[in-house]
Amino acid sequence: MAKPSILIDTNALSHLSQVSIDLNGKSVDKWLWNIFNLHTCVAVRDEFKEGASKASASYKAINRRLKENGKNQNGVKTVPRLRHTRNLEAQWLAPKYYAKTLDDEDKGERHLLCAAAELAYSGSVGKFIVVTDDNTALRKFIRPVMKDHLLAEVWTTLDLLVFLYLTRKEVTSRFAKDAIRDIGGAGSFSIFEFRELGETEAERRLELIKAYHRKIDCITKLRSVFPS
Amino acid sequence: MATSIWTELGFKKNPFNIVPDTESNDLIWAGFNSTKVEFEKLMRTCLTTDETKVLINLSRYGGGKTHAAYYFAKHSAVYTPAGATQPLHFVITAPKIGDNAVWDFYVKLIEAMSFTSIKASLRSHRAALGDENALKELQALAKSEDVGRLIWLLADADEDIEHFAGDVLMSGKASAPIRRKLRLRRGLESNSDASLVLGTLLNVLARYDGNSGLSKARRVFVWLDEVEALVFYSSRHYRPFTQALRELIDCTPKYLALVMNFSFAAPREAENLEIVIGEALLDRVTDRIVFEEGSVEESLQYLNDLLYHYRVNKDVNPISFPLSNEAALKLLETAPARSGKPRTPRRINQWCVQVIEAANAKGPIPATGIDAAFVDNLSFAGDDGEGSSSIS
Repeated sequence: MAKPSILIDTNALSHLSQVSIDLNGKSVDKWLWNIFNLHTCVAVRDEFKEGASKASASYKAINRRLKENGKNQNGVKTVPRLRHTRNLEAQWLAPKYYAKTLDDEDKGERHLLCAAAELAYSGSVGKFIVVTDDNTALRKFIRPVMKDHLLAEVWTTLDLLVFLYLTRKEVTSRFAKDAIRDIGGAGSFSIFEFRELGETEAERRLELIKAYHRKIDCITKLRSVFPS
Repeated sequence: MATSIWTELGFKKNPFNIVPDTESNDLIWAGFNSTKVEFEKLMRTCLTTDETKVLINLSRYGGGKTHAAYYFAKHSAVYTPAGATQPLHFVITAPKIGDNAVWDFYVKLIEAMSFTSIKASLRSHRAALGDENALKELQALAKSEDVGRLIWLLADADEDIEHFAGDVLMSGKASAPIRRKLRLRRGLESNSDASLVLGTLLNVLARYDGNSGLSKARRVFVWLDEVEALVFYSSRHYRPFTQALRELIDCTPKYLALVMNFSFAAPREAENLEIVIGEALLDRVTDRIVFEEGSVEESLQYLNDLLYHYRVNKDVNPISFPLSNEAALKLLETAPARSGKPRTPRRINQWCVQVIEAANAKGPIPATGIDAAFVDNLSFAGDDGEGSSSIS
């Protein structure tokens, strides 16, 4: 089966490292690469590496996979060599979509968009999905860029988990729901879109988790139609 | 000391607490009589039966759950039926962080029970049954010879033994010399041990006080506040915690009433509870109470009850002073839509404080109270979600 290709941001990788249960006995660094052609950019790889020294075993394992930089099923490395990032950033992204100075802030997200543009233009990875949990960057420049260019779909890690449940039989409803809870309950996952749905952080997080659990329930119904 | 705005307005102190005033004698129930009646009915049922109950208390944020816990803990004489023994109440907050949540809960609950009371009840237990039988019973309750013995040693005549046993009970750890001294083979090693210790202690506290065995066992209410915090736990942490609560319930078939307080934006949505505590714990729930958002009439009653309680001179007209009756009504009718917040006791308190302080800042409040036009002209600004709506 052809694996979906994803282009992933630092915060999304970090959130995935927080999924506290294994999938079929495989830890996240194994199943993530087994199921997806996972790609990222140098800036994200370097940002992720910065947090590795004090991080969990899963985080370190993901960091190792990024460092190994193996080829995916589509023949493209996890961190592909891209030649046009600097030009794209200065001549394409900044003038219209990124009003601030091109410093370290949002560097990962900016470079990820440039990587998306270069990979799409080259046609080397086919259709892919950008995965990021940075709600501010999403609202400020990622969504506007995507709207204008249809470069890729944009998902959060929770969307990725829902997709995983939809497309992989080995992913159980319990795994999907627990993983959603692990990520949605974490303070670092934005609840901006749920700000009107509760008075406290706990209430808003619950609404977020509930919304995604409902998607899992919908898919469970869909799955039940097909013979096992 | 400078007189406060509240004393100038004829009050003992600020009537509008944002968090329950748990220590003073001002822990009163204002308004919301139907909820109080429902609660009292449930309390009475608990006090006339022995079987363990698991109660769920749901409301919006600031809906009065914590207040209810402290109120019913303090006023047990009011609702204890004739012939029943007054219950014990322990109010603790659910651990906010999943790491070590079971042990955190265990230590909090033992601290709430107090070592002094635990030891006194265990001494009464020994005196009533004799040393050997007391030990056997504790071992049976704890389903472990070592755990039972450890609890039994908390009432030992030798102060050192008693101290070491307390040390092991609170830390769970027992070094080899301590184990030799206490004649134990192990310390407390698992979450199951923690649940069994708690269950055994609650059972003894229910049947024995510091003086003797009780002619009728008393109900022990354990109020676990802010259980919605479990939503922050990862699945790796929330499963052991809810499992420990289930074990506590299952190993304490009698006398316990575990009351779990939850704040939900939509208190009646069943899915919320399943996500937060899981299906298995939810299956053990015997009763639930929902604190609904107050109607205008209920909220007005609440406001007037509160003002009346704190007023020095009770004979005041208008009864909503420092608000005129019309202003009070206007505030309660319009504030939810204007602020985007529900009519909960905490919000009502906040709105009142803000209106009264804003009016006072403009000049002395007239004897007729703040008028409705003043309330109408105030604008309700944004809110940070943690309880501080502001009026600009």
